[in-house]
Amino acid sequence: MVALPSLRDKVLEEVGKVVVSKQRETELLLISLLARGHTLIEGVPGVSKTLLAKSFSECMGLGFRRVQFTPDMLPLDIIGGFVFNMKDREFEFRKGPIFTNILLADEINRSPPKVQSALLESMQEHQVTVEGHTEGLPSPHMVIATQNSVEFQGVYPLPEAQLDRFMLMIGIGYPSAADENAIIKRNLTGIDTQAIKSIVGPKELERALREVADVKISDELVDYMARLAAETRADERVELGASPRAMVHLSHAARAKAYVSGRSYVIPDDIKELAVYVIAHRLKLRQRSVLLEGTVTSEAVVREIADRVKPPR
Amino acid sequence: MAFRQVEYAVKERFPDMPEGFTMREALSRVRSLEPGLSWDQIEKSLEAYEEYRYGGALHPSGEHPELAELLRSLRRRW
Repeated sequence: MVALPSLRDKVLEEVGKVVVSKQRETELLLISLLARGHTLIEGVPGVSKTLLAKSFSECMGLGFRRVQFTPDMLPLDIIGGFVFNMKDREFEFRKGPIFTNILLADEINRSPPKVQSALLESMQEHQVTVEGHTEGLPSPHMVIATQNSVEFQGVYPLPEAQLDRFMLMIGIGYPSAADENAIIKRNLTGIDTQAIKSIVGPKELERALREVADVKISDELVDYMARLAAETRADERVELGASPRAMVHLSHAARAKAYVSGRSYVIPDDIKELAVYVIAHRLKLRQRSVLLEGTVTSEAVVREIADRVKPPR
Repeated sequence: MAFRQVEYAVKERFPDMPEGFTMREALSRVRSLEPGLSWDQIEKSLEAYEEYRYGGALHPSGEHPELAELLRSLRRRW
């Protein structure tokens, strides 16, 4: 197996033509895709969440659909449904926008739980079932969902079961002064979204997906992940710790991270670095901890846990 | 293995290092204080060690003067 650091470099360069200073976030999207996961992007309005997701999809050369989630949506707006064909005089299944490689679910928390849960089966099983009729989704299939972190009115927070299906959550904050300067200048001349070319062919991507599955992860690293998971459940500030699914996601993501770093084996740093992106959004902190330690966040708790669990060295 | 000695030396030199430190994190910290060491060679040795430890490669053989230099540096300051 030949690992591919060049794939990461190509993707970072291409997305960087349009999106300013989002190398880390772009790499995480690539890791999620190669690990066959889904990604949630959270941030305040106007920090390029949608632009990042769209640019990434375009440069990967995959089928792409964008759905703006709204309060009046219905599940069939996402997954599709049966419509009556007047000509043939029978019902036929009409596929919804989810039948694509990359689905951008924009502002996912604006739609009611019924619509959010319509995504559940597809995210986990890579298939859709309507009235007993099952349709497989194209491969690879990835949901990139965005949500606004500051709005509390008119939004429906994603339930824990739904959050657990996202392999990674990427938080995007405000840019530095230097980056903001670059963003303003780039927008003065107009962003050329056509500048992004599809730089990864289907064969290259297929090969990468296959090879990521061959990346070696040693038993002591699996044990390290299990100890991290146990620690999240034992921490007194945490009401709901990392699920077994979280650890499965972490192992897949660590393999993809090793692959894009040019290695055919996972090292402890892959796991420690990704732990916050894979675990934090799944933790539910005790209300008492949040009230007593006003600044405590799930991310901070995961970082503390990763700092006290001894990795293999 | 030399990296086992490096681990102990790092722990003695930096008692504030959290229990969860990785070898790469430890070396990154030492590098910020000792930029003059043979860091290219040290990194190559670490990669060979990781490949042996986690990738199933053969045990890296031969002399490692760069790691001896690193150990001397860590112990000198202590």
